[in-house]
Amino acid sequence: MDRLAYDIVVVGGGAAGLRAAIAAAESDPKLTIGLVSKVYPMRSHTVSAEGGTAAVMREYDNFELHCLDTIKGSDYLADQDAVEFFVAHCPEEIIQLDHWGLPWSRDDDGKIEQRAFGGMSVKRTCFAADKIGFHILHTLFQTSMKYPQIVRHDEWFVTDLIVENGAAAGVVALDIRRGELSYINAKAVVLATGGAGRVYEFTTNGFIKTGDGMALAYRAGVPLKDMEMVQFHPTCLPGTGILITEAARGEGGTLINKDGERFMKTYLPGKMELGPRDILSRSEIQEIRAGRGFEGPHGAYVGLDLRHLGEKAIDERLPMVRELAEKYLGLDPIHEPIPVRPGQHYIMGGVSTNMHGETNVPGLYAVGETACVTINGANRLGSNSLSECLVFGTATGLSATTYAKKTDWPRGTAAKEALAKEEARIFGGLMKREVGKESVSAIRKEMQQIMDRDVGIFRDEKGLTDACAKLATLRQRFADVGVADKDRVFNTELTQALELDFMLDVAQAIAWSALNRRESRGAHSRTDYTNRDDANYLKHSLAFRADGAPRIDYLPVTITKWQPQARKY
Amino acid sequence: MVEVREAVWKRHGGWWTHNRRYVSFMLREAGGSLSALYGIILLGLLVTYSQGASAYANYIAFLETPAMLVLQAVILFFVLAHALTWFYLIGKSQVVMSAYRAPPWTRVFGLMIVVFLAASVGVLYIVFGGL
Amino acid sequence: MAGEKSITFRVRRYQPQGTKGPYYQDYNVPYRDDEVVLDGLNYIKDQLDPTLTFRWSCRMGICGSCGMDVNGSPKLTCGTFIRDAGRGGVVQVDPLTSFNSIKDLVTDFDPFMDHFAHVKPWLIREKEKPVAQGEYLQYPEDLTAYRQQSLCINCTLCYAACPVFQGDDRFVGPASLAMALRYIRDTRDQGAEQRFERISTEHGIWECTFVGECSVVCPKEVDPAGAIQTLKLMATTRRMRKLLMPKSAPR
Repeated sequence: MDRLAYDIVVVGGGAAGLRAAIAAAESDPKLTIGLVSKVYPMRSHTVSAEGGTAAVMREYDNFELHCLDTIKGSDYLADQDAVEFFVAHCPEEIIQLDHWGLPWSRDDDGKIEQRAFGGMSVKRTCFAADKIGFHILHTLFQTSMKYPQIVRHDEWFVTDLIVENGAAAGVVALDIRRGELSYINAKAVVLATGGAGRVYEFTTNGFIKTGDGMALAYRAGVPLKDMEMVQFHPTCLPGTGILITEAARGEGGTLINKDGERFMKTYLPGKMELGPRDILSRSEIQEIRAGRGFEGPHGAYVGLDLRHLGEKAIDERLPMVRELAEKYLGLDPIHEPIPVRPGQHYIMGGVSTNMHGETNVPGLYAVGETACVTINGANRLGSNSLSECLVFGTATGLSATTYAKKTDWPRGTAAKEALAKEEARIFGGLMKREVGKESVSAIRKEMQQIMDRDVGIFRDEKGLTDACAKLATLRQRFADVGVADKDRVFNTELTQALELDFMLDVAQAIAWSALNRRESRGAHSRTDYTNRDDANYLKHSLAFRADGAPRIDYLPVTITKWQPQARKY
Repeated sequence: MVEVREAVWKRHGGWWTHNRRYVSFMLREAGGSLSALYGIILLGLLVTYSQGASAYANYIAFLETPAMLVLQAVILFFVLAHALTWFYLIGKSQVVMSAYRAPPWTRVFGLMIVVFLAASVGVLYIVFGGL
Repeated sequence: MAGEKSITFRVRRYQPQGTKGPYYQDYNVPYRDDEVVLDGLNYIKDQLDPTLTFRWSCRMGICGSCGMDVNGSPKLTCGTFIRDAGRGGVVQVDPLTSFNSIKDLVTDFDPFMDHFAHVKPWLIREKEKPVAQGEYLQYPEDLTAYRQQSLCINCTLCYAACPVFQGDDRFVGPASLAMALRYIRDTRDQGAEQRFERISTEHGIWECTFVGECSVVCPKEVDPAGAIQTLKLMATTRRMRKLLMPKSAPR
C-alpha cells in the first residue's frame, strides 16, 4: 500500500469540495491537496441544480436586501453575521466562475443576466438556462484539473475520520475499485459530501446523497446542527421525485388546482408562487387535503402551468424542464400543466461550523450542504445554496490552508489504529456476517418510509416519538445486515451497507431534533405547536451522538441588526 | 494488494454489421475507393486517346462489355450511396460555419440533393452536345 | 416496483475475483410503463440479487453515470424506458461498448479521463483578469457559438459508439475533442494554439473518419462529430494562414 499524505484532504467533489480545493491550491501552490470522492467528481449531485445562484450584481439590488430576504426566509434562525459575510462575497464568486468559463446566460448588453426566485424580493439569481448546477460542477471540475497539486482519488469511499490528540489527522477510505482500505494522512480534513436526502423515499436527491460527511463528523464528536430543518421542494414529479426548477415559477409559471385556480391566492396572496418553499409545499398539501388536487397513478398532485410562457421562452430559459416533462411524463409543458407535488430537497441542518468552516475538532472542516453555518436557518431560499457552496467553499479552503501551514504532520499511531478498526468492522465484521437475516434494501426502505410519513412536511409529537422508536429498532436490526457479494472489487452492496449505516445516524439526528423542537418555524411545521416560539426556541438545535438516542443541546442564534419579526409576505 | 482483472473489451470483425449506420459508413468508404477506381478507368480513356483512334475505340468497346457495364453500374450505385450518406451526415453534424445557428438537417440534405442534381444535369447537357 | 407486466432482463455479469469470464444471467422483472431500464436494474439489486453491480446516481439524465448498452446500443439507462427497450420479451444489458469491464456493468472510466484532460478542458488566459474588474462581456450570440458543446455530461456513450476508438484506444475521442471546440469557441478563451497542438495530431482530430455515430447516440445533442469536422476545418485554415500570412496568423 502506498503511503498517502496530503496537507489537506477534501472529502467530496461537488461544488463546495472543488471550490475549497481550488481555493487552497491557488493560495499556496506548495500545498498538496487530496480530493477523495466516492464518485467521479462530475457525477456529484451539484449537477442536478437547475435554477440559479444568488448574488447582488445590479444597481437595483443591495446587500442589506439580500441579507433581509435570507434572514426572513430562514424564519430568523440564520446567524446574521454569517449571512452578512455570505451576501458580501457572493458577487465575487459569480465573477470568478465567469473567469473560469461558466456559460452564464447573458443580457443583450453582455452582462450576466438575473432572474426572479422564490423569497427574493428582486431579480437576483444568476443562471445558465436551467442547468446552473451542471455548469458550475463541470466548470469547477475542469478548472481543478489545471492544478497538479490537486490529486484525485476517484471512487474512494471515506469510512472514518482519523483523530489524533483531539485534532483531525486524516481519513480511512475504501478504494472501491480495488476493494481495499487505506489511510490518508492529512493536516486538515474538509468534509463536503453534500446532503442526506436519501434518508427520505420521495426526494429530488441523487442516490449518492447519503449524509456520509455528516455521519463522519457526528461520529468524531462534532454536533449536527438544526437537523430538523428539512426542505421540501414544491415542484417534484410524482413517482420519481425528479426536480422541476423553481425558475419555472421565477419565469412566470403558476400553480393550479384541479379547478384551474391559482390556489396560492388563498395562502400567500402577496407573493403567490414566488413565496418561500416551505410555505408553498405546505399550501400544496393543504390544497390536496381539501380535495382540490388532481388524482394520478402516483397519488394526488397539483399542476405547474407554463402554457402562457410560450414555446420560445420555455426553450430558451427552461429547456431542461421541457426535456424532463417530455421524457418522464410524456407531456409537453407548452400544451399541458406539469403534475407536481412536494418532495424532500435539501437539509438546512448539518455539521455545526462557523463561517470559516471550522468545527469543534481542530483541523476538521465542513462546507456546503454537509455543513450548517448557518445562513439557511429554518428555510433556505432557492439559489442561495450554490452561492453557499462557493462562498464558504472558498472561505473553508483558505482557513484549512492557514491551519495546515502552521500544523505539523501527525506522528502518532492513530492512523494505523483507525485502519485496523475499520478493517475489523468492514472486512472482519460486515463482510463476514451471515447473509439473509437482514438486507440493506429492506432496512433502507423502512427508514425512508418512516421519515416520509412521520418526519415530513407536517409533524407532531406522536409521529415523531414513533419515528424515533422505530429508527432505534432499525439501528439494532442493521447489526444483522450481511453482504452477499463476496467479491471485494467494486462491491456496491458493501458501499450501500456503509451508506445505510451513515444514513441511520443522520435520520436519528433529524427525528430527535424535530421531536425536541416544540414549535413551528420555517420548514419545521408541528401540527401540535403551530406557532413560532421565540421565547423558547430562537436557538439552534445541536445533536450529539450518544448511545441509544442522540443528546440534544442548544446554541444561541447570532442576531446583528435584524430583530425577529412575524414572517409575513 | 488486490489485483483487479478487467474483462477486456475487443472489437469483433463484423462490428460494422451492428447497425445500419455503420453499414452506410462502410458503403460510403467503399464508395470512396470505388470512385477512385472509376477515376482510373476515366484516365484509361485519356491514355488510349493519346495512343490513337483504334486503341481508343478498342477501349470503348472493352468498357461496353457486359462485365464492365455491370462494374460501372456497381460503381454508380456506390458513388450515389457515398454522396447521399455524405449529404445526410453534413446536415446532421457538419456545423455550417457561416450560419449563426445550425439549420435543420433536412434543409441541408435537400439543398445538397438539389445541388447534386443541378450539377448532374449540367454535365449531361455538356456531354450530350450542349454548348 | 409493483408492475402488472414483466419482462426478462438479460444482464452481462463479470466477477473479477471469480474463476469464470463474463456470462449472461436472466432475471424476471415486473414493470410499469413509466419505468426505465435503471429502475429494472435497481429492482434486481434490491429484490433479487444484491450482487449485481452498476453505477448510477441522479436518475434524471444529467450526472452521466448510468451509461450501458441496452440491446446493443449505448444508452443512459435512466432515460430508456423498459416498454421501449424490450425486444422479443428481453431487455439485454451489457457494459458500455469500447471499455473494459471492472465488474458486471461497471466499466473502466480512466481511459476517458486521460483523453479528456489531454485537451486542456479549462479556460486559458494569457493574463488573468482580476475578479474586482468584473465579468467578461459576452453577448448571447457568443454563448450560442459554444453552448452546444458545453452541454457534454461525460457519459462516454459517444466513445462506446465510435468504431475508430474501438479500433484504437489512443484516439482522443468524440467528447474530449468536442470539449476542445467548446473552449476554443469561447470568446473568453485564449488557448486555441495550445489545444490545436494537442489535437491536430494523428490520434486527434485527423484519426476521425466521420462515421457520425457519436452524434447519433449523444443524449445531450452535443454533436461531437460536427465538432470534430469543424475543428478539422479550423486547423486547416489556421495552418494555411500560418503558411501564407505568417504575420496575421490567428493565435
